[in-house]
Amino acid sequence: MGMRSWCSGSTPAAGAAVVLLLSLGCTGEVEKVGSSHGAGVTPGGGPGGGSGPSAGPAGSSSGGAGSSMACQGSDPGPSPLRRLTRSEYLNAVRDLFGAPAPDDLDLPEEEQALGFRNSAESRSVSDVLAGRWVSAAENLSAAVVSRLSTLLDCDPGRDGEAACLDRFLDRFGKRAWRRPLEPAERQNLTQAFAEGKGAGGSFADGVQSVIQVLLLSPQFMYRIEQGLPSAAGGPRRLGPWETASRLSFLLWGSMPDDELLAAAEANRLASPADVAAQAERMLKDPRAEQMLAGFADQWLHLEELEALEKDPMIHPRYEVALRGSMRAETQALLAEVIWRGAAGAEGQVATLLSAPFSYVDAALARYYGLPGVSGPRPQRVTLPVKQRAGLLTQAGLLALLGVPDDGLTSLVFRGRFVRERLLCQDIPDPPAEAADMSPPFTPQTTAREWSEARQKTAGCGACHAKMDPIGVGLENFDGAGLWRDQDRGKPVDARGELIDSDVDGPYDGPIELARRLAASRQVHECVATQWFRYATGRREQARDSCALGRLREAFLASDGDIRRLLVDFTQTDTFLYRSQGDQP
Amino acid sequence: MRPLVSRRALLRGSGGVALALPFLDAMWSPRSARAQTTPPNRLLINFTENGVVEPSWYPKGETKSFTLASSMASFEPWKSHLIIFEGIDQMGDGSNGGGGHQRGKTGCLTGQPNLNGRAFGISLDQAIANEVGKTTRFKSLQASVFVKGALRDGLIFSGPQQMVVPEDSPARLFTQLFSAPLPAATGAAGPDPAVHAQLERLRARRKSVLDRTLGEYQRISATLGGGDRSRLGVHMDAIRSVERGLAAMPGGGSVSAGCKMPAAPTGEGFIETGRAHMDLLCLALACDLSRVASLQWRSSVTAFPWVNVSSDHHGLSHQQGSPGADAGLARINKWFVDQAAYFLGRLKAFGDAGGTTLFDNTLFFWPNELATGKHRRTHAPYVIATGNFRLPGGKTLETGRFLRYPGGTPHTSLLTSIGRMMGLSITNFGASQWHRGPLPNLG
Repeated sequence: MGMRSWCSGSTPAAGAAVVLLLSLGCTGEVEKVGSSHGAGVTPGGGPGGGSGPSAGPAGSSSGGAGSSMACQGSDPGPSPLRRLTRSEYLNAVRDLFGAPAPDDLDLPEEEQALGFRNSAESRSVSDVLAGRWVSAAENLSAAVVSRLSTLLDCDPGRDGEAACLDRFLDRFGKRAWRRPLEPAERQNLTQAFAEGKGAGGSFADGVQSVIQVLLLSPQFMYRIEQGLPSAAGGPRRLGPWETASRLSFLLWGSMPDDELLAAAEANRLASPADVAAQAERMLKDPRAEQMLAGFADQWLHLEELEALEKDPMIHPRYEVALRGSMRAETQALLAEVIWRGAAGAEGQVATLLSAPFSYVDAALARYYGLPGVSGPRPQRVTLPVKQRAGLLTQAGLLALLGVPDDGLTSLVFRGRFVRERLLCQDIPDPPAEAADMSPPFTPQTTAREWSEARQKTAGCGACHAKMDPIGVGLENFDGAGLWRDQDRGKPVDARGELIDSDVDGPYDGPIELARRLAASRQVHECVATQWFRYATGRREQARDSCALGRLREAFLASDGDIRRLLVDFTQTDTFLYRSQGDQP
Repeated sequence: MRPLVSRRALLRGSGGVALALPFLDAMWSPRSARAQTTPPNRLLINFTENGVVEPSWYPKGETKSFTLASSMASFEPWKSHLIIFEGIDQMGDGSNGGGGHQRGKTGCLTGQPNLNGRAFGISLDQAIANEVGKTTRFKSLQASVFVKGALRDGLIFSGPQQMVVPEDSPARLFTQLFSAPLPAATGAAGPDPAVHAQLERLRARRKSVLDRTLGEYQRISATLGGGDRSRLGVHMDAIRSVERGLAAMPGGGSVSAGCKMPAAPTGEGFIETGRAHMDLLCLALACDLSRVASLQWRSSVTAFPWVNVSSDHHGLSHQQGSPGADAGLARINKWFVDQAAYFLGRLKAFGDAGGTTLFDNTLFFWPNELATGKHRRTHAPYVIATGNFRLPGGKTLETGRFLRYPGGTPHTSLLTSIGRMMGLSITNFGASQWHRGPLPNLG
C-alpha cells in the first residue's frame, strides 16, 4: 500500500518525491513550478501570447482551446525517449491485430514515479524484461499467423510472395511502426522474412519472423521522435507522424487509428487547430474514457484497491469482494461527471470533490447502509448530507488510506494524500528515527490525541502540522471507510485546519473539508499539474512554467473541465514541440 | 473482437510453436565432448530484512571456538563451514524512506547512497556477474519472495539508478530457466537427432529475429541524442544477453549430473515460494546456467503464523525491545536460518567437477538491510557459508570462524573482500567515502 509506504520496508512509494529531499524539511521549500500559491515561478512566466517558438507555426490559430496555449520564447521542456508502458503495449497490440492480446503474455507492471507508472526516466531494461518481450513477440506472431489471411490483402500463391510481402510491409509495417518504412528497414525486414522462411518453409513462416522483428524493434517499443528541422538551437516542431503518435498515446494510450495515420500522411496535423480537431474527434472514442480511467487509477492510487486486505477482527464488515465495488464507485463518479454531464454549475473538479451523490452497486450500498439499490451495476444514490460528499468520502479511498494499526495513523496517510495528490505539495519521508520519536500512547489514546501530541514533538510537528489537521477531518471514517461517531469510546472530534493553501482556516468535519477543497484554486491547478505529469511522463520543471501556467489558467477558466484540459494540453508547446537539446 | 488465441491453447493445437515454453526434458549439447575442468566459483546471495535480535543471533566464544546462539540452532551441522561476522556497519545514505529501509536496502550490496530507492552505483553481484557471467546463459539470476510489485527500495543494480527487478514468481523463473534446452551433464552424450534438429530450427529463428532487431536498434540509436541513445544502449545489451542465452554452451563450465529439469513449481505461499526459488536457483547453478544468483526474502508485510507470529515482520520489528516482540522476532530469525540451512543442503546435494560438490564451489553470502528491528544499521549481521572455496591465489577460504570487528568498520570492506574472492581485481567497492580496503583477517 503506497500511502503507508514509509512505515514498511518493502512497499512502493506512492507519490514519492522525485527531487532529493535530504535536507528539506516541511519548512523548506521545494521547487515548484508556476503554482500561484506555491513558491517559485509565477504563472505565465513568459512574456505571453501570440506566436510560438520562432521555428514553428504555433500561434494564435489554436483550435477550440479558447485561448492560445503557445508561449513566446518558451521551450517545450525535456522530451525524454518514452517506451510503451505495459498497458500501451497491450492496447497497441490489440489495435494492430484487431484482437485483444492473449492473457498470458506475462509482461510486468511498471514501477511508480510521482505516483504514476508511465515515467519516462525510471524505466530500466533488464535481461529478464528483454526475454519477456521476446517471448511475447514470439507468442503474438504465432497467434497471428494462425489467422494470417485477415492481415493480408493479397494471396502469396496468386500474386507472388515478394509482391505480397511488399504489400504487407506497406500496410501492416506502417501501422506497426506508426509511419511508412524506410528503404533500409524494408530491406532488413525482407531479410528477416527470408531467414524465417528458410529452406522449404512457408510464407507464414517468413511473416512470423517479420512480425517478431516489427514488435521487438525500437520503432514499435519506443516513441521515437526527431522533430522537423528548425533554426539552430530552437525547439523542433514534431513531424506529422510523430504528432499522430503523441496524440494517440496521450488520448487513447494506444497507436493511431487509420484516420489519424491518414491525417499524418496528408500533412493535416501541421497547425494546432488541426491537432485540436483530431483531439476532439478522439475524445469521442471509448478508448479516451479508458485512458482517463487509467490516469485516475494512478492519480488516486485506486489500483491499490486490488490488493486491499483488512483484519477481520478490526473490520468485520469489510470483505475482499468489495474491492471491485469500491473502485467502480470512484470510477463511475469520474465517468459520469467528466463524460456524461453529471457536474453541477461549480464545475467538474468541484463536483468530484463535493458531489452530494454517488454511484454504488448493491454490495456497496449494503456496506454504506443505503436502501433501494440492487444488482451489480453502480446506480446513482443520494448521500447522507452530514456524512459524505465527493471522492474523499468514498469508502475505497478511505479504506486504502486507512492503516491497520488500529487506525492510529490513518489521518496521517489521508492528510498526506490530500497534500500530494490534490494540492501537489511533496511531503518528505519521515526521518530514520521517526518511530522512536513518536510520543507514547495507550490503548485509550485516540488518533486525534496522538496526533496532537505528535505535532508538539520537536522534529515531527513541521510535517505533521501539514498532514494531520487535514486527515483529522476524515476521522469519522474508520480504517475500512465506514462511518463512526466514536473512537476508542470517545466522541470523534473532526475539527481541523487547513494551512499553506488558498483555502486556509479552521473547518469542522468531512463535508466542510470537501467543500473547502472543491472551492480551491490550488486544487484545480494541481489537477492540471497531475495531468501534465502523466502526459509528459516526468515532473514539471522551471522550463515548463509558461506552458503549464497557461494550461492551469485555461483549466481554471473552464471551471475545471477535464475534457477541455485534455484538448488544451495538445495545444501547448510541450506537446507540439521537442527540445533541440535532446537531439544529437 | 475475438481475442488472439492464447499460447497454451495454441500449443494444445499444434505442438512446439512457442520457443518460450519449457522444452521436454531434452538433454542437448552442441558440443558432445566438453572438457572436464576445474569447477567455476559461484556466488549465491541470500538477503533478509528487518535486522536480527542480537542476543539470540551472535555466537558466544572465540574466533575458532564458539557456540552458536539459539536462532542459529539449525546451522549446527554447518558450523565448520560458516564465517559469522559481528561489528560491521552497513553504510548507506541519501533518501531515507521507511526510516532507514531505503538506505539499508540500496546500500546493502552497492555500498552507495541512493535517490528515492535507486542506488548511485552497481551492486557487487552485478559487478561480479559482469566478469564471471560472460559465458553462461544468464549473466545472473534474481529471485524474490513476496516483493509483490513493491519496488520502492531496490537491492540489486546493474548501474547507477538501474534497478534490476527480481523475479517474484517461481513459475516464471522456471520458464525463464528452461526456455532453452538444458546442457548435458559434463561428459554426457547428446540427444536424439530429431529433437536436436527441431531445437536447432527454433534456435535459428530466434537468432535471426534478434540479429535483425539489433540492426534496427543500431540504426535508430544513431539518430538520437545522448540520453536517449544510452537508454537504447541498455536495451540493446539486454537483447544481446537474451541472444547469448541461445548460443551453444561454451567450454570451461561444469554441469552437474544432477542437472535435470524439475517439475514446474506450484504453490503460492511465502514458504512454498521461498522453497521453490531455492530449488530453482541451486539447479541453475548446478546446470551452469549462471554463476551468480540471489534470493531476496521480502518479509516485511508477511506474518509468520507457522512460527506463531501473527503480526507482520516489519510491524513487529518496530516493537523490538519488548520481550514478547523479541521472542517472536527471534523465532522469525530462526526460521530464516532453517531456510538457509536448507539452501546449503541443496547446494551440497549437487556433484561438481573434480569430485567436489556445488557447495564447495559456491560462496553463500547472507546480508541484512538493517542491524536490528530498531532500524539501526551499525553492527549489522553478515554470514558467509561455503565448502572448500578456492580463492584466486590458490588457497582455500578458511571457514568455521566467528569474526568480530571494531566499530566503524564499513561493510564496503566486506563487499570488497567478496569481490576479490570472486576474482575481481579491486581494492575497494562502493562510494569513495567508505573506502577502507578489503576486510582484514578474512581471506
